Amino acid sequence: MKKFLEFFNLKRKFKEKKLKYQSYTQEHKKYLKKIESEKWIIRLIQVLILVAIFVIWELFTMWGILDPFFVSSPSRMIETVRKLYVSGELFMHIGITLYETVIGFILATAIGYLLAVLLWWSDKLKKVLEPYIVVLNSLPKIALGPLIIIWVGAGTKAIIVMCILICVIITTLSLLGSFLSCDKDKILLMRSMNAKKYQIFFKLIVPNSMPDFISVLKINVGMSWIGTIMGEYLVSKAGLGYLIVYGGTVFKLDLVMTSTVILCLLAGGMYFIISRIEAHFKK
Amino acid sequence: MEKEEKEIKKNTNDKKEVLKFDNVSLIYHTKDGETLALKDVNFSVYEKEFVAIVGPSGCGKTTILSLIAGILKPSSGHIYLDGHDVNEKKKTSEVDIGYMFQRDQLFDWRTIWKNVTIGIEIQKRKKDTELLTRVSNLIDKYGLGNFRNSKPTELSGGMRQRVALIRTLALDPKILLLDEPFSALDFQTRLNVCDNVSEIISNEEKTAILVTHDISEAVSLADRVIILSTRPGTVKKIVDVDLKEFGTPLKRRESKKAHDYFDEIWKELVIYDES
Repeated sequence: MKKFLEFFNLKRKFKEKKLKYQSYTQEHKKYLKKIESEKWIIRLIQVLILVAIFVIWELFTMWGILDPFFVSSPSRMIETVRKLYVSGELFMHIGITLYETVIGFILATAIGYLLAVLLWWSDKLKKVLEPYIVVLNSLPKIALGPLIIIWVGAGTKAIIVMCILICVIITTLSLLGSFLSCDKDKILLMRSMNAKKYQIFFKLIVPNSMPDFISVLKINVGMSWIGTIMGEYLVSKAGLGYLIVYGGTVFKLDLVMTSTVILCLLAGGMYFIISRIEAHFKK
Repeated sequence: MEKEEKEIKKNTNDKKEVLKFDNVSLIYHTKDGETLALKDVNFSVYEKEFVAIVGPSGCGKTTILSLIAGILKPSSGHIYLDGHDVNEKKKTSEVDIGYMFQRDQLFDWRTIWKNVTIGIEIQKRKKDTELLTRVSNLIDKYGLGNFRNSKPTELSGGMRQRVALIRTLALDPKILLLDEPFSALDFQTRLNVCDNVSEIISNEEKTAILVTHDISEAVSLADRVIILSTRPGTVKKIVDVDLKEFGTPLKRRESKKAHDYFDEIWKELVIYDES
């Protein structure tokens, strides 16, 4: 344990923090305590709300106020998870959906970024493609569903393509906007030092657009889940979206609710990872 | 008196001509038509000289800087920097100009050291130890040594402008272009930074052109003030300023002589406003 603490330098950090804390005035200590306690109260309320929802849900279905056939219940959801786990299906479905989403997310972000770079690089290309991008952006991508299935086949590939289509245009547009919003004087400064276009791009445009890139990532987390689940609604033999559709058609609301809750957890987790990355870059 | 004037003229003639505007005109083209922005502009800047350009707003002050930087091309006439036409393709990648802007334009994601050496990075001369030592000395000399690894956000406005100036000096340009570099600062900081910048430029023996709308600033910093007319901008008058005896720009600003120069320049601008 001691070694472990030393490894992360936690002990030293803790000591430094303590020393710093001791140097504060009584009033400042009080102020810090107030902030700290407020933070914990908010956390506590957040957890309580979640617990309360599940408890009330359980009790109402137990007392017969709500019909568990329509709204399921926490205990039935736990039972569903157990059954899925025992049959080995649980991680298979989660895995497939997660795989589709992550691949879709990464590819969409990469392709979107690349397109934005191309459009930034060539003003003419940007002007030529502008109307096409606007139309593609406002087109409801689900309308392309049948085409996608015919072109790439029903299955995982089609779902990933759907996911990419939903994320890619918005990624390109946001990033291009960010690239173009760079201060003109900063570009002039680079040019006055005889910077080549690629140097302006890598040394100025890219780092300057980093905060916007992070927010694009955050948006894409949500969008890629939409894309994947929509894709799974259209064509799939497995995955959480498939479970929801299947559960809906055979009136197994337990399955629908369970899958939805798992989706919530996964999407939250992915968002959390992105915000960790953001915090890392802000330092 | 006349003799003295002649002597000054002779002195300036002895000096090397760094920049020459030879009958430069510029027409701006937009969809709605064309505007004559500059008409037959003629002036020269000599080595180690500090020249200020003043004029009513919209007279093309900043346009002149863009022309020197080669970002705009004159519609007619020629601009010579160190004897070479700025619009003829250069064979070397040597940096001729150092640009300083209204805002410091420091890159927030880079440390002070990395900001200052960005030009060296662009020129791929990071292995040039002599150059790096020189920049390092500049940082120490002008009180930024302890902030090498700080980010620009940790510095005050005045310090940031100082970093911006050292960044432009890093590549040892032939001429510094200062585009209202103090106007984004509050008054007190402005006076301080003005002194700093003037000290650094004269210490490093640089040639500089300052564009400003602030007449007192121009008078307190420059050796010569070029007055432009309203659009289309032409050189209305060139005033030789001799306030060296008073020392720093702040002290020059307070001197009685500075007020006389101020009035002289002010009159030129006002007359033009009324016409």
